[in-house]
Amino acid sequence: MTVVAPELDRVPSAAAIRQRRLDVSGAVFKGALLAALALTVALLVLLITDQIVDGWDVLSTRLGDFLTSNVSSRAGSAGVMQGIIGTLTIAVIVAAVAFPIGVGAALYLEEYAQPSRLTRFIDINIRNLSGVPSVVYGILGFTILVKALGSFTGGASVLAGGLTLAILVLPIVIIASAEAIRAVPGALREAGYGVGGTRWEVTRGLVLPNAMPGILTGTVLALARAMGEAAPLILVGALQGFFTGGQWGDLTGPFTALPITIFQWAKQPSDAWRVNTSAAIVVLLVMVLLVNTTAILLRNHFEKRR
Amino acid sequence: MSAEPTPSARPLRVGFAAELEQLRLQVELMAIRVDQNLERMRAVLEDGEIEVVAVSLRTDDDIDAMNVSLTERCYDLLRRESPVASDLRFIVSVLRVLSELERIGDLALRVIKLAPEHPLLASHPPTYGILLDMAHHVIAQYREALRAWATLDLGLATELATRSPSMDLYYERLTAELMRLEGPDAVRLGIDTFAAGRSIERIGDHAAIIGARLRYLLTGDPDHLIAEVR
Amino acid sequence: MSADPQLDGPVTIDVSDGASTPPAPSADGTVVFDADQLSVFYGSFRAVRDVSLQIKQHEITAFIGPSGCGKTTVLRCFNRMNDLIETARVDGQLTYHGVDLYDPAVNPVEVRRRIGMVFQKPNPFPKSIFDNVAYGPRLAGTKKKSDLEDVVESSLRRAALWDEVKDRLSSSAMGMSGGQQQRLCIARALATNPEVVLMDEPCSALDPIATGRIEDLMAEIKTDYTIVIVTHNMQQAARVSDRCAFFTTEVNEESDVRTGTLVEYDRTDKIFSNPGDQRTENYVTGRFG
Repeated sequence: MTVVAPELDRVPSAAAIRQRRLDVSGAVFKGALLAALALTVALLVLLITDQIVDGWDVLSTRLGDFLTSNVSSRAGSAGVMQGIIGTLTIAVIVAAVAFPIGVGAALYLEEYAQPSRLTRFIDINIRNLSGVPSVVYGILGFTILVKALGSFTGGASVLAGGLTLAILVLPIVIIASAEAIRAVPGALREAGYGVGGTRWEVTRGLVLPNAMPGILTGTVLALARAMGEAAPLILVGALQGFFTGGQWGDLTGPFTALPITIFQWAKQPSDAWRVNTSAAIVVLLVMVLLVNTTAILLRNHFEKRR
Repeated sequence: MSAEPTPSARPLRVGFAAELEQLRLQVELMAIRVDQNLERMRAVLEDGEIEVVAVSLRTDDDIDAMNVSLTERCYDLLRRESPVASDLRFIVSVLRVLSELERIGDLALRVIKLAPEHPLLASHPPTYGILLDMAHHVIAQYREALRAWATLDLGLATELATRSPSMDLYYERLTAELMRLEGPDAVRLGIDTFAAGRSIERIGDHAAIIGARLRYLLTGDPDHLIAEVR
Repeated sequence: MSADPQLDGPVTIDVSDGASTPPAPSADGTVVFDADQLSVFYGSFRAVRDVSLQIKQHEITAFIGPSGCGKTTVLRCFNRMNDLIETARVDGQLTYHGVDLYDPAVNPVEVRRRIGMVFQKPNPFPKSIFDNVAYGPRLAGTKKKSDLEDVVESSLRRAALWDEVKDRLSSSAMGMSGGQQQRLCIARALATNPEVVLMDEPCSALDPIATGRIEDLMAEIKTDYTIVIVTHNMQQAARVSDRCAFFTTEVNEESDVRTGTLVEYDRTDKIFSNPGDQRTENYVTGRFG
């Protein structure tokens, strides 16, 4: 393949246009990107299949029993029901608390507040808070929600745990919502004000629906994070061993959550517990997947209406 | 045409500006051709040289051709450039001036074609003298219009536009003399003299119109446009 | 005097019962807007200074001038849209039918119902065609379906769009062509029954046919509305407007700051045949910039 010097080839012939030059660096770059994607997918697939394979005994033979039994000291009859109830309740509490407060705070910061040193300060601090280790939130939750507000939350309860995790993910929701609200085109707001809309009418009727896909994505991330956290729950007082309670609707009594159950069982030495642990991990993954799917469906619904 | 630009302004549409200047120069060239024929008209009136006729005819053809091509160029500029304000006034004025110049050329030619009648015209000094005076006067007036156009002189243009019609005085004297004609050649002489005098008088009219149109071009005042139609 | 950023003020200019009614049409020559030494600041930067002009009723007034000369800034003062920019501040006086527009007691929401706006890039709401046009009236309090249908139809007719969309009012506005979307935005602005329509370069994103339609539309509705249009297109200004205001930028020698200013404001035929100011002549002939 001949390479023609550019200055000699100002009026290219047909042959000149047809020649292909080897784009080595381009191919290498594309290959590297593909490798990164393949690696990520491979790791995920590996993780999931590893757990499914390890937990296959339980998942295939006594799945129903596994899902409906309480924690037990005997591997053969231990189940994740209390964990499922705990984790789902926490998800509901986090969604019910963090979503409205987070979106509301983001709306105020972006639409209503006059930009000033104070708002910039608040913005920076919210970003800092999202990076605080979750253990710290656990301590915060223990001190305030379990001890100080014990009479309201019932002490070490799923309510206290859920609220602690809601506080933990609040910065994530605020930041994602603020980004989504900021990305709403100014032309849309102008059009709304132009026909005589008040700030609330424009915000509620035009800005919020337009930002909803982004807000929901942020909420999905927040929920997934909350459902997988173990450290704060341990500090708040989630039970690890056998206990009665932890049924549906019991917000102020003792509780546990799936990550805690997994943590507890992972410490046990025998094979049977190892199988249980893997099965529980699969159950948790499925739950997170279901919650995410719901949120994504909601987001797509809002996306279509933009 | 627009006056000097403000110091901070950069010239834009330079091609268009150049075309407008070109147009102005071409009109000047055409006017010079017309001037040549006017000079020949004077020569014919003074000496009656027949050879001048052929040359004049050729020059008149040139003048007509220039009229056509420059008119087309004006239409082209209007179509392409969508001029406004002084640019528009300029192009529309050029169209008007071209038409006036062409008429002046025709009128000069009409007198030149009377060359064979020269002995007859010269035979009667009173009318002949007036004719010569009229010719001198009108050529001076025309050259003033030409100078005004070349220099875009508002003062000259105003003078041309507002000058009291002295040609009328000549014309009156001429007709008065013509009334008094007697003799066997009186009719022929009368007709020829009248034709020449009429043509020369109208050359003066057209020169004044050129001055008036130039004044409107320079001031843009609609009243000056109205004043053009006397 | 600074702009009041709060948009939910308590007092309105004149009494209305939901749907806004414009003042009764009076003889031509009525002054709608009167600007007196109007200046607009963004923070400490003076974007445009000392604009004094009067907009007459049932006329189309065009604002022309090079980029950055403040035409859009001044236009957006007329309906308090500059309030949306936090650092914007207005000096001097601007009255609307004698009422000071920037008086703290004036409610910008009511102002915007009476003074509508059409923007440079068509910006319909991501809703149906019907909901787009009905949005303003709904906010203003019109609730009955039949009333809304009447308003939507009359607005779409006036915007020369009814025949094209009457069978698909519930389809999304986002599926229309650019020219149709802009006419929809005009219909939307007309739906609140404003007295004035402000247009910020409404045709700059449209093809010549769509532009021609909108220019025809402007000529038709002129008898019922007062229109102020900002345009870069000189031929458009010459074609559609009755009066022209020419703005330009002045550069401060030391600070290199450019401030917009009004140079000449006169009947359009004068501006385009024999303007009074040499700067105007330079701009409209386009031969000096």
